[in-house]
Amino acid sequence: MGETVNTCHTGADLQPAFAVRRLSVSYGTLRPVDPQKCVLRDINLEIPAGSALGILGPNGAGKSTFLRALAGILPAEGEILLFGEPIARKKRREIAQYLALMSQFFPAGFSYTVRQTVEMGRYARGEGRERDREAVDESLEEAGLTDLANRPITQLSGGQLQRVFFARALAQETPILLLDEPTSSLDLKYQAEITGLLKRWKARQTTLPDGRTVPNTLISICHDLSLALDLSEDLVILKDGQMLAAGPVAQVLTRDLLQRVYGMDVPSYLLRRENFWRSMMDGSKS
Amino acid sequence: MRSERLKTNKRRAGRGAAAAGLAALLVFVLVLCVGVGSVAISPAQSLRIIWWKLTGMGSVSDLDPSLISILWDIRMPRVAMAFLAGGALSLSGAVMQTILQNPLASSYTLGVSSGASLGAAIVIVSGITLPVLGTLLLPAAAFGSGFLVIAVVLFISARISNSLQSHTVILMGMSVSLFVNALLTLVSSFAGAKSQQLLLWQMGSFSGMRWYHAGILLPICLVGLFLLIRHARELDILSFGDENALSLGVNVRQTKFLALALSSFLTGAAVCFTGTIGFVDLIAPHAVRRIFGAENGKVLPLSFLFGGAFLALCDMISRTLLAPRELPVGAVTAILGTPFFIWLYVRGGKHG
Repeated sequence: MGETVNTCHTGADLQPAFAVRRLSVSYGTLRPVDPQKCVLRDINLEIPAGSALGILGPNGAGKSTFLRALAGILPAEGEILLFGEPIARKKRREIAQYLALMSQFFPAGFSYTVRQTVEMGRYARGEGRERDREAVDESLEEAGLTDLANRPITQLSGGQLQRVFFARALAQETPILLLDEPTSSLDLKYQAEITGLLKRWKARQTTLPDGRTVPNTLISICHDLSLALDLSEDLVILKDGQMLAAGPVAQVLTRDLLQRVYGMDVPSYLLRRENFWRSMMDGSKS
Repeated sequence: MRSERLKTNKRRAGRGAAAAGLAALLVFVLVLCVGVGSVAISPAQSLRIIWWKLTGMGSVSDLDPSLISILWDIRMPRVAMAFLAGGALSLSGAVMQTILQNPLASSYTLGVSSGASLGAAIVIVSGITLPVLGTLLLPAAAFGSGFLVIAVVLFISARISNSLQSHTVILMGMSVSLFVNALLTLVSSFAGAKSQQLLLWQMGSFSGMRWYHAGILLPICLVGLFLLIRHARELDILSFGDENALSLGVNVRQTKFLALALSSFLTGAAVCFTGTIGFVDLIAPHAVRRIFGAENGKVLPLSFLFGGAFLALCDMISRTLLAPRELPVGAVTAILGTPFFIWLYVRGGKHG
């Protein structure tokens, strides 16, 4: 029943980062789960710690809903286990020590500075002023924001703002990052930098406040096929709220499946572009 | 990196100077407000009388006793009430704008003032008296009905949206206050000879304020200020919306409930004595954010001080400009405040 996305980088004793069982989500109805109005229907999935999972699917497939359900901020039917424990029974502060969510929307209504905004990522963790400042400095630097630290966020461009929210997610120092199109507003340079940074981050481990050390897990929605290929080792394909396929990239991403998902013949230049992108990324690393 | 730190230090020094300036301005405004009126009392005289009243030291035997009485029994409680009410309204405005992520939101949006007006109208029109409460019946009724309206709004909103989403709360607040306003119109149509008194209450005024009024409002302000500042960080995060706040680990429902209840309580406590006074709750927090940035750890206390001083000043102008005639203080706040606010925006602060 449950599908396991697994390229297995983890010890056998470690619980999966997420175990999703019979997950359904519906909006706009007071009664939970009206099958007609389901945005997500009966999703079963296991995501081992240390995975790099990409979520693909056409517009309206339920990708963002799935990500927010994983973050535990949507009322959902079914069960989501976070490192083996039901997320629904955890306090918000504890969940925020495990996972950071970067959504697609970057509200900037009030004139907080970049640094103040990134500092908010430390709310759940709070390990003293000195450590917090260190973490914020690091995150600012990694997102290329050190020079903008004192700029009000109301004066930033869309791409700069996206990097602020990315830095805030990094400052949370969680072992799981949930990213909704992490590079959608970025120019070529930052796309490459953030993608490289995410790959390096994925290879590392994070120590939880309780002292356990777990491998980092990256789960990202990618609209861009090439980015999905570049960032992910495994893929989940959603369409109309249902999971069509899950597994290692090479197994899942076939021309046949793409045709089924997007309802069109995938033009071959997309695959060529992917090759180009990949070679460029490899080039930038060396 | 170093220049960055230098810049931060400079900025901090600038903010420190601005805060000191604000404190000096505050003292100046309060002394000015106590001194100016139909009988002028010099700042030196005011300070001597206050010092003597507070500590029993010094001598005031050379001063006219009526001067002392005017200052201590009439003007000071009035200025104190204007300051506290302005502070309470501004503090509550700052909180509402933050958690509802709406620059135009205030407790008034949620129907506190309509509710308070309805309670006051019922007492005024019906002529009910309660010996136990005496003159406090009117404020008690206003406060009670203002709070009842907010409770209804929050109850309905919580039923619709589990996390008290901003647009749900605002829409429910507006619909309920329209409903309450309709009831108010209905009650007013029976006012007859008492309609003048009703109108005066709705315009708001600080005349007739005594020390005991301030004695009731002061502890409410202090407790509200203390509790809200303790949650300043959560409020900062909530200004980015529910989803952001939840994913950063804030208990959104609890924090919102506490903040909405506290700021409604503050507004209710202020307007029940003075009648509805608008505008200061809207502009004071914006002005403070413009100068000092958005962090609520600073915005909340500074909005209190700034709003308080501003309303005390407006009240002084309202009672002196066409003396002995008194102008409605709500009109003065808007007439003075609007140009100031527009100037502040056009000039553009560092925290635009």
